[in-house]
Amino acid sequence: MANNYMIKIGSVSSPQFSFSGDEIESLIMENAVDIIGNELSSDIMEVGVFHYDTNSSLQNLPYATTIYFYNNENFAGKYYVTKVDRTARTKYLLHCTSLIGLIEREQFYGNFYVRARFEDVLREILFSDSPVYKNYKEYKAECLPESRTSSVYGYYGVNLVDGRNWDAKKKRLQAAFTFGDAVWAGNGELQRNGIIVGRYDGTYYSVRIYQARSSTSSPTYFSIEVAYGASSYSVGDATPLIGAGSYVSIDVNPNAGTLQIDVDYIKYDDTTTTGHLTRSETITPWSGNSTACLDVAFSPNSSGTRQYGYAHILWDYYRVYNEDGTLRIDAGLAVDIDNTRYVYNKANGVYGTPTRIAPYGSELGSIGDIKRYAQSQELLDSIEMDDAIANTLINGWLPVSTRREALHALLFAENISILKTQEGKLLLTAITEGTPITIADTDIYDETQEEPVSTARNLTVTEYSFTIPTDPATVIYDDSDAPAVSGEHIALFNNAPIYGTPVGNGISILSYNANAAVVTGRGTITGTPYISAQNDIRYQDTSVYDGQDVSVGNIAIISSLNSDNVMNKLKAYYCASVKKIGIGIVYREQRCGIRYLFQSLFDTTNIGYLSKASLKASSFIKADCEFVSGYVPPSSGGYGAYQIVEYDEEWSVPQAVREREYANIRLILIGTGENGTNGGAGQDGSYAQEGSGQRQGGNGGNGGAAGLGGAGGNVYQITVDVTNVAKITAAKTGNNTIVKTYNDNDSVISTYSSSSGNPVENGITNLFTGEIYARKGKDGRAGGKGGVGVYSGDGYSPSASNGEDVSVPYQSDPFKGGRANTVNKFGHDTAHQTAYYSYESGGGGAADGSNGGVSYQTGSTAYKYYFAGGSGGNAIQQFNVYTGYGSGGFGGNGGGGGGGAGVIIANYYGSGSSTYSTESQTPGTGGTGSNGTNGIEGCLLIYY
Amino acid sequence: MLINTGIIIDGTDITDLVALNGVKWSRNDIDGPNAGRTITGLMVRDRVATKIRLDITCTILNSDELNMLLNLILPEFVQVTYDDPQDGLVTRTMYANNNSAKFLLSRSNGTESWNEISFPLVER
Repeated sequence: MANNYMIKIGSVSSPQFSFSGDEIESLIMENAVDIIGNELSSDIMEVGVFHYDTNSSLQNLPYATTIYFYNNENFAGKYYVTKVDRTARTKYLLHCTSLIGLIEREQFYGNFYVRARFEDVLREILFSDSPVYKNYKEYKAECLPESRTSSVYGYYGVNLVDGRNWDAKKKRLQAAFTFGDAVWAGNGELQRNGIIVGRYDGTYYSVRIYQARSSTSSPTYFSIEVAYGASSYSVGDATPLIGAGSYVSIDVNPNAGTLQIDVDYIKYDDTTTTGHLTRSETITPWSGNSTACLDVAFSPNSSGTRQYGYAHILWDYYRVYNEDGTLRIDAGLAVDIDNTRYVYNKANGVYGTPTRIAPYGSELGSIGDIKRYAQSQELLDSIEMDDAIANTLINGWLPVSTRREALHALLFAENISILKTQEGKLLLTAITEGTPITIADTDIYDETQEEPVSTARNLTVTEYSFTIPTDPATVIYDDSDAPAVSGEHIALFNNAPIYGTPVGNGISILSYNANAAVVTGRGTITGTPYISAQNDIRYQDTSVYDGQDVSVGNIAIISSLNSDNVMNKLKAYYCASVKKIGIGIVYREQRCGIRYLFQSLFDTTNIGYLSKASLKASSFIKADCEFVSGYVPPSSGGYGAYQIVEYDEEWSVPQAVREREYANIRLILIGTGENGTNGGAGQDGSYAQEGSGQRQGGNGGNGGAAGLGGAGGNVYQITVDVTNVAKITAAKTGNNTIVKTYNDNDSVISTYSSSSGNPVENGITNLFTGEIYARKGKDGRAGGKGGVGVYSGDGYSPSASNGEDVSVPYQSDPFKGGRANTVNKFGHDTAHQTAYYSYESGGGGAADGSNGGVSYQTGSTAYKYYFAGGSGGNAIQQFNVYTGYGSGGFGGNGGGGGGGAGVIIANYYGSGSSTYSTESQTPGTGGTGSNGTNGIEGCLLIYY
Repeated sequence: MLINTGIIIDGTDITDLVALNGVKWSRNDIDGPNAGRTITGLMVRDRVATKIRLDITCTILNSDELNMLLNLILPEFVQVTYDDPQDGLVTRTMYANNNSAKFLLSRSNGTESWNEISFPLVER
């Protein structure tokens, strides 16, 4: 193919394979940016190449090997190999994708985000390897036991470089240089008397002449000339070098051809010698895979011990340089494991120290980490975004999905598209209008296709809200019946997302997020799911009668902050005169997502966003393009600020907000919460039944009923166009919040009332502060029942009972019911042949705030003892109530019930048989209930 | 076509074997799929390459001469040096993908003659 295309595989500087010109048989690319964001497009490239070296097959390229595409020597795209077909003896078809294609099938464990930065969420989507996001670090050099061969290391001195680790360079050099008494050792080193005087680092040949001794009185001069092809380079003429280790150097970058190095040196020392060294060598570019360094260290594994295995060296490099008189070394390598991923490593250290680099850094503990690190570096180097997008706050939930699905959801919710820069990097940005770039008429083929975008009559966007749960924890994972398992595994939670810390029972949780955990063993996990709610915002274009219905309903990262902007996007696309225009053009590096001005056969002039480009390379590249015309995109993100307007206050709409293309703001009217009802008083205990034959004590009084929590204020949300709105006021009528919008003439435009909304039991969250508004107040706690007076079962058992306890959440011990003590006292009136048994009354019931009273003795006669029932506890008003705007008041607590009366049993035995009669003791009185608390006044919450 | 310097195939001069007017020179454009007209009516060409073709017709050759010639053009590619009307004396990598000859006669001394011997030399 007569062209100026070039494909480099594996590396730009030291490609594993390189194809250009006639070696490229075919080249097609499919680039796309979905303007509306219905899908997350991945670019693809298919390139057919002739590869004549039958000793190496391109089919051995690992998945995701990097491919660099150059057009007219300009870098034009970076892709990753997904598949290689061998189509003939010397022909291969490489199937490649962009970064987005790489993450298509990878699992992502999602998470729940509260005011998280967009960039952090993005990193988590792309780089997290488990339910825990790891902050991947660059590997550092580590020293391994001498008995183990690592990757690259070197010694300065007698054993200058370990030859084993330079084997990879031998193929590149192809031959050893002889250089007078300096020697190309065939290992990348040009040595003279054991000192490095030259080096080949994989890209550059460096010639360095070191001064072996330090002398200011007799400096050493060097002159070096290197000829490569028609070019020659020189350096160091008559330049004195002072100090041991000093050097002059010159680097050339030969691809193929003859390299000639001439070195003239004049050495003013005790013997004053001069000399000339020349060496020419044909350079054959190295290609293929190194077989060196098969041993790489896997270290450490999860148990902390080192493991060793084999890996395939893809590339490595090694560079020694002088830094302020100290020789230092940079080294790096890339390997793949199981033909799946690259592994990178870098090291930097003082040359001469037995420094080794290993592909597995000590800070990270698993192979997955390494792979992810390598990929994350690759991705991070390839992504650009501005600070505004990076700092966009994200609220909501990403469920377990693929990375691509999660990324798509995030980008769709924030109206961010992935474009490509001219350098081939991914640019995360909003599609903007900007000045269109003109495509010359003489570049446009005489073929045009137009297709209107199907309009929509009904648009629906579902926004999600999540509030912190108040319910007790439930079982969210249970594999206790599964067969035993060794090692770590992932537990996916039911009813995710989960708030707070999950607790394992029989199962050890090593790490977790809102959706899943890394665990060992089998068992159950309990946790508390977030309370989620959904709210549909709708738009109807009444001018459309037969349009489609478009709904966005399953993206839980859409909240009230960004839902309006999503709706703006839908309206801009489906409710406007948008059409797709297909034309063919001579490709001149046009990029998808950019706005262009062009002619078509149907219209004189069109302006549209390039959404798809199918590129076919021949002597030049033709692009079959699809443009989206008539679409006015909203900005990225959602609302970026909030405002609270209390009653009788007003808020002036910022001019910048009014002048937006889509001048929406979200009004959230929050009514005043209802008061909680009062708690009931506890009942008094009852008297015992008196009379002959009676033995029954009195019942304890019931505790007072709990007061009910007040409903939160009504919540009414509406999106308002404020282009003509100058100010907004809030006022209170009853429990309703009344909001009015005013124009610049201070005339009311619209009036809204929270009465149009409904109470929301769990309230709504201010997504900027986390405060919760309009929650329903909590009910109070009922008082405890008073204890029963003596029981009549056998007539004599001392069995009066205590009052009931009342447990409260704010202290570990409950409020105690009053004790009955079950004391009985005996008196004997021998004169009247009567025995008296005096029993205590029941204890009073407790209430939230105080213990119940104990049964106590009030007096006695010669034969009788009198006990009163314990009083019920008095309740206190609830505290720690909700204070957010519009919150309902808390219910009052019930008072404790009074203790039931005990009995005094008289046993007359004078006639030879016993006759019983019962006299009641005094029952306890019920405690007082507490008042409910007042509801909190509402407000107007504005997102803008 | 007048041959000034002859035709040399892989170092062997075959000029004497070529008939008078026995060389036809032609230029062929290899067009790609991206050719077409623009909306302004402009022709957009997609010329992938331009290749030279020489159609050679030989004189009557005896068996030895023909055998030598056929073996000369048998390799997949050959180096052909000739005086190109555009570029002057050039050496190009070419191939002869088919050739034909007609048996003319067999003499009493055992020699055979062939005529209508022709073959193309197509630039790689």
